[in-house]
Amino acid sequence: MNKLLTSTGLIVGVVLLLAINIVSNASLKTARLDLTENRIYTLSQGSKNILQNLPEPVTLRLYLSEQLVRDFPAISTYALRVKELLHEYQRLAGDKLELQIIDPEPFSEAEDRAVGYGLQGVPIDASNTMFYFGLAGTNRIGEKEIITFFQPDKEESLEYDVTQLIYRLAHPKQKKIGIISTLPVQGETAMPALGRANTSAWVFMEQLKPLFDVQNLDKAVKEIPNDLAVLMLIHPKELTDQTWYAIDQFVLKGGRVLAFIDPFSEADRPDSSNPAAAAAHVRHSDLGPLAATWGVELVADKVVGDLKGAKQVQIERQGRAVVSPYPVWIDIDTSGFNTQDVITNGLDTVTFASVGSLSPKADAGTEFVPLIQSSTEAMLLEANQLLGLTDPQTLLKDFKGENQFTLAARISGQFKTAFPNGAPVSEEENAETPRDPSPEHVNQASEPVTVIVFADTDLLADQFWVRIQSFLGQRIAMPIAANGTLVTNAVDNLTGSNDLISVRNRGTFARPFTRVEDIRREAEQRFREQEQRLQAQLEETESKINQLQQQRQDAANLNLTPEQEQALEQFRQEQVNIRQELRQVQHQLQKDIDQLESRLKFLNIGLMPLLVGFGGLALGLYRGRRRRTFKQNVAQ
Amino acid sequence: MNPAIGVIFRRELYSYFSTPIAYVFIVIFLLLSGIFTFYLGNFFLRGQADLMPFFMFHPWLYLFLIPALSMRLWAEERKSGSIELLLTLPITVTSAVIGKYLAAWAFTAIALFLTFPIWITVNYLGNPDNMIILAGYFGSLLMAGAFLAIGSCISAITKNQVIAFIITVVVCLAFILSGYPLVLDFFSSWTPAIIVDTISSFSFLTHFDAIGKGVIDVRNLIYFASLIAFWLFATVVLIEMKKAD
Repeated sequence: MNKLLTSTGLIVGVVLLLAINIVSNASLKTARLDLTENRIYTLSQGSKNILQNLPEPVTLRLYLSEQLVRDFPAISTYALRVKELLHEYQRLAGDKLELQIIDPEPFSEAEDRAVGYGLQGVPIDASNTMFYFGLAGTNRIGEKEIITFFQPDKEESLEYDVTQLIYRLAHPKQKKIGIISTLPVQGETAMPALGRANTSAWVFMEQLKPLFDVQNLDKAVKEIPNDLAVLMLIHPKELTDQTWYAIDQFVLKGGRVLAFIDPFSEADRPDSSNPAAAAAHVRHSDLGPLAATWGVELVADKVVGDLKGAKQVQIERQGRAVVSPYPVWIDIDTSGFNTQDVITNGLDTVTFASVGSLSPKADAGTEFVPLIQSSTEAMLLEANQLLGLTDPQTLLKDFKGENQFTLAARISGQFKTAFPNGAPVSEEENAETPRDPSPEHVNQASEPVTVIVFADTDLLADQFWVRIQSFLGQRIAMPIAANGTLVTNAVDNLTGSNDLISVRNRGTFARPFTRVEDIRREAEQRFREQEQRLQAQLEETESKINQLQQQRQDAANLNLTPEQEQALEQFRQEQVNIRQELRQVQHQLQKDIDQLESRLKFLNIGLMPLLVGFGGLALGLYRGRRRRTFKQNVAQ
Repeated sequence: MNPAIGVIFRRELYSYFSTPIAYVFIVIFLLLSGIFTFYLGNFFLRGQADLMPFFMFHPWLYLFLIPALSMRLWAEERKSGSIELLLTLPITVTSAVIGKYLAAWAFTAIALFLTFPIWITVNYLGNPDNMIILAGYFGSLLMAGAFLAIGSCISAITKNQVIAFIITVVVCLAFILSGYPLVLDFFSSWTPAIIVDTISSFSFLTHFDAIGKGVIDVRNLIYFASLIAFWLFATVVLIEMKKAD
């Protein structure tokens, strides 16, 4: 007998099995095939570019409690993934990146160092034993960047987080961006006299600060510093010509502008304690004299209404809380983004509020590329309708959405100046004497320049895209839309670090049931029509009842004629019926979705087993009959 | 390939469908996987166009269904005595083992294939990443293969199908749970760390989850392939040893 096929052979087999797997686990780290649509498990080109061009060495220290991680299978898998990703980073960066994997055993020096870097230990039992799974990076000049704890549910952004950490360490000199804003994006200091408390900076601002050197410029600034990489123009209303001229020259000399203008800024609230000032308060902004030369036009005093992405708001109607779509608060999803552009490609959802419509001016000679567009079922609404609006129904009544509008655009080209006669003269100076343009004046950009314009300022406001939670005294911002990412993308893109952008775009992986959302939207549309009709009927019936009651009182006769009595009874019955119908309509809204769910449940749970069962039965019967016939044939 | 393997394969696969076993197995597999997906996995409420709630129950479904399928592979032959007949035929034990194993695996593949309505459903509802789903099916099939190889070996030890079923369930459970403290604590006190690491890397779940994410890693393939090869080899050894008894 073959010697291998004995118990000795079995032992050899076990040893071989263990050996193969130990060796393969240790050595085959990069041999894998990423089948996912977005190649989410392969390092993106952006990361590769950043790693291959590291200007100075970076050290990464991964603190991972190896002993403890085994007790958590979910984290254990993720820890492996993080380790491999870091090895991949090191492989691509070569000598420029040093990777250390450290096991901070409880009460060791390594643990003290991890705490010193600011990593977050997670207590796993009552004995003060902490579990560490974080990353600390340092560069040559001793700066540090950390990831306090790798949370498995943030796996989607893992590569971006690590690449960004490396990028910041390798490029310690931050790019400068300037901000001209008439909205309190930096937060406001307390003004007790006006009853205003301290407010924090807006979240998008907090996201920009660690990435860039942010410099605030006054609204009346007469010269934009040359060393700014990007100028952010937020709600530029009531700017002087001098400021517009400064911006004009800044752009023509190669500066980049990211502008947020708005036909109606919801965030720009008038001072309610002063009614006169509130009435005169201007809530719109535009690009002033630059619009014509840049070749972009904002449709004045009109906001875009879009039913397809309309947010649902809760309002009170006749003492009942009802949910209604509000067409000027719009969620734009991937279908509205320009997928060719690095800024918008791969974004999830961006929320706009009372956004305007941008259009190109053909004669300006610039290139106008829409970045974000509404659905094709949108229409323009009068902006002043929104003042003091209490019921969105008013907007929906005559809603006829049949157009598509551009909400944000990238404009590039060799811009010309809007001030061909040189710097405008301020009021104090004598306007009579014509002056020669100063020698520094530029009439046309020598190289193509780029500006990005958004027709909304509210997309920056926290209320439309983050939920702020307080956690152990810290403000934690949980994004519910990608507005912040969009702004950071745009600034990043304009400052020129396109590599980091291409990493960020791999962002989110939500793949919702679009069919269910469509059904819900359709049902709401139907529900609204029916509800309106029934509501009208109800009001009519009620007024008829009141009329009859009135007649009774007028006649000072407490007894109605039998005919009247009958009519009253009939109307009451009708009232009850309509109410019932109204309730049913509301049920109907969910019913379609419930129906779809139960149909799908049946198809997936019941149908195939039934088919197989019947198929088996039929085959059994057929075989049985054939066997009998065969036996009969044999018997004959 | 050895032509004998093909002969055994066809004979076995045909025999599944000539008895009610096939239909009962498939019906129960489909029913349970559907119920788990929709009720325990909350497929519809989650609202996400992927098959995570479908695949996550596969290890547990296989834990009970595959031993029921594999228990008869050899135990039945041994009990009815047909094993003697089989082994007197001009085929090697290895061919018989592989042929029978492949038939059982192909049968599981058919059962798995019949879950395709869920794939149509998820494509109807949203836009899933179909390559991830394909990888999920591939991982699930590999895992079923590993379960079957274990079952095949244990079925070769005993004449009693019930015993074969129970032992297979226990061994497979160990393979699912290895990586969890329950199993590791048993080893960590007396074995070096590298062995404990290896044991923890032997968990079905770890490898199945990794493939199910849409990444085919050579290590996962080596894991399943070496596991299947080892258990089939053990089956051959055990049958040869028993034959010698």
